[in-house]
Amino acid sequence: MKNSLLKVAVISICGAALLTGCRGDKKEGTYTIGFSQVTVKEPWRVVFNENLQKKAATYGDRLHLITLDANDKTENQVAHIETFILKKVDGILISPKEAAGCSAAIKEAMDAGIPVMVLDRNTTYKDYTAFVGADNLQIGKAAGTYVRDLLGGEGKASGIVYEICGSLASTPAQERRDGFHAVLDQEPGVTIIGGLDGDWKLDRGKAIAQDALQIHDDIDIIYAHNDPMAYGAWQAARELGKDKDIAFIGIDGLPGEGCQWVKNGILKATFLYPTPGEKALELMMDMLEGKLTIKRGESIHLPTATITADNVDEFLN
Amino acid sequence: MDNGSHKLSLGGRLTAGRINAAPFLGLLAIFAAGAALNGNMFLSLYNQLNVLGRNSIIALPAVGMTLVILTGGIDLSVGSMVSLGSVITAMLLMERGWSRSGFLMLPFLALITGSAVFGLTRRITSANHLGKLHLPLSFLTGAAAAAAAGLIMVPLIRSGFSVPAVLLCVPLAGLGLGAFSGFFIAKKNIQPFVVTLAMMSAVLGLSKTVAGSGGRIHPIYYDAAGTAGAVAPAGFAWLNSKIAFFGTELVPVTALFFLAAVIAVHLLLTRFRFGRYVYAIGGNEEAARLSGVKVDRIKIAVYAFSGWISALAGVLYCSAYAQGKPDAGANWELDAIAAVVIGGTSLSGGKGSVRSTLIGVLILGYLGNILNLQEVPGEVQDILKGVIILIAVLLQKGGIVQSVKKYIHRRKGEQP
Repeated sequence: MKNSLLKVAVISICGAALLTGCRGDKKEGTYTIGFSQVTVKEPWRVVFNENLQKKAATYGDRLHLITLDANDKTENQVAHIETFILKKVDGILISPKEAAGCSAAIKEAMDAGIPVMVLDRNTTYKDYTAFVGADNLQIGKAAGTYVRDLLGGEGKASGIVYEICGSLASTPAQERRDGFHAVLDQEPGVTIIGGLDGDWKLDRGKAIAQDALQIHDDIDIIYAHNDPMAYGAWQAARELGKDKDIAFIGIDGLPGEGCQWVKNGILKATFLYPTPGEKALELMMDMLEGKLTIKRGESIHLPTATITADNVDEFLN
Repeated sequence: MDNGSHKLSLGGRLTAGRINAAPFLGLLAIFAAGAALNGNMFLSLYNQLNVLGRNSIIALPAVGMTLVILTGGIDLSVGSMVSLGSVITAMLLMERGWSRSGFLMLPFLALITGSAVFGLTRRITSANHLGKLHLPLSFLTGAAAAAAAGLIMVPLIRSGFSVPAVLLCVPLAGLGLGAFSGFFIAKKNIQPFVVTLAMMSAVLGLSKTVAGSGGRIHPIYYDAAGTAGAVAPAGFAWLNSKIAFFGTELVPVTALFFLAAVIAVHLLLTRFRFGRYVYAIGGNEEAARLSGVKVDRIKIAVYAFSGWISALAGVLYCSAYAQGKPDAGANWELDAIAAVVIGGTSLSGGKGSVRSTLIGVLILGYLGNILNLQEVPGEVQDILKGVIILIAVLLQKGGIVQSVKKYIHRRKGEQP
């Protein structure tokens, strides 16, 4: 009787082992690509994944895409890459959490002969296959140019712009600020005030705007580093009855957020921060199928787009 | 607690209930499932060493947590200690001259060394009946030791820390902060949950403050390319390597740290008076106090140890991921608690062992590994982890094992 418990356990384990057989072998002309996404907590990354899945579906049976979510942890992304190496995948896409953490693992994969493409955020290790991402400095400049034209055009622009920054410890926020300033600093008539850290969040953007609108009643434009903060600023202005006097400008242009708010007339404009998944997958597949060669370590920057009421319908689908 | 059991075989000990069988069987089952589902991929040396090496870092706070939970407490601040440890390590290694981490560590280490020497001399001098002289004498030696520690630190901070210096000094920051929690828990009688919740927030804030600009990431570089010039000592990468035997890499260095911690704490719990007191406090604190156990001291010691070993995990994290950053160790307190509970240690204290935590860590580690190999999406992994924790606790209560036993018993009884 005493040993029966152990017997039951051993038998059930052996049973489980026998029941599950080996998996099928790899077929010719089909490719397995592993993708490690840092988090899906942000709406932009959800759209990122959706776009990538849509693109993957167009390849049908030729592609098996493994998508793993790292729950915002570097250590999970390293585990993902190790898993991909074990599975001998044909290519790896990774959107890393930060520059340093995944570098050693990416090198390990490259050394194992697996091409790696780094998406959106760059790594300290640069000898990967390619980097694919948007250029926040260009986006900042595009926003600056748009605001300049809105305020009277090159050399003649005049007005007061209030800026709400993203998390200032992050490079995207610094670049979205620097690009914007690079254009508008040339305009003597334009004053940029504000510049507080809204941490990318709607409620923080709203709180900053609530305070700002009570101190300044001559703001012409509110420029926020992402759409939710611009939307929060609009909410604050509307509560004070000032929403009609101010133009709100955001960045990202997600279908469910920025584009919808442009469509509804809340934001004057938003600037597309394109998701890099589709382009990277396309490049990877073309490379694997021999249609394309990429110079190792190349940077591929995706262009932005100005989304206004005139063209918003193109981006809503 | 092991008395007598050595005469039985492992199977005998398991079924006789001397060892809590459920977690051990759970580990066997998970290992078998991994081998069955993924075959050579799961069993490969590469995979096994990676799982072991990686999970050994997250396992260190779980070892400290075991001691804390055995006394009937909880430590929610371990993740923040990992964070602080990783940030200080990266800064001490990479910066030359006075950075925020230097300013933090200097008074910290001076204070800790000073009070340790003060305590020690007080003990010695009071035992030698030096009368009224012993207090000022202890103060004097304590202050001298603090000054000496400070003097040793200054050139280190100027020239950048070496690897042994980092391994020695950084965990002491955790020790001090842990002792601080322990002081409020033991002397001020505030619930451990509340004190360590407060510390969790405060230490994370401290980590962000030390890191600068609201929480900057501090990467570790081993060559001068792309840096301001300063590089970390090459030996720091050794902490993240695997030791080779006969030309094959076999033992992850992080696993050695984990193993050493488990063995040390196991011996502490089973062979020393300290261990018996830990169990006694967890079982019935008042009874322990009445029977002369210095409850306050033991409690402060376990929280100090928990902080110490968590900050040590921060040093290893910094080596493993070549960076120190404030969000290192985020949510690790929950993983540590999960590992302790899955292993079978009771959250109400007094029951359990550090060996079970070893099993709990391995169960969680293998589970994540298998789910990744099975290409299970993240959201499903989260659900499965929750389910596993619940099953583990059910098994622990004997729920499932008992019902299987009863079933077998009934079947035997029915047969003529």
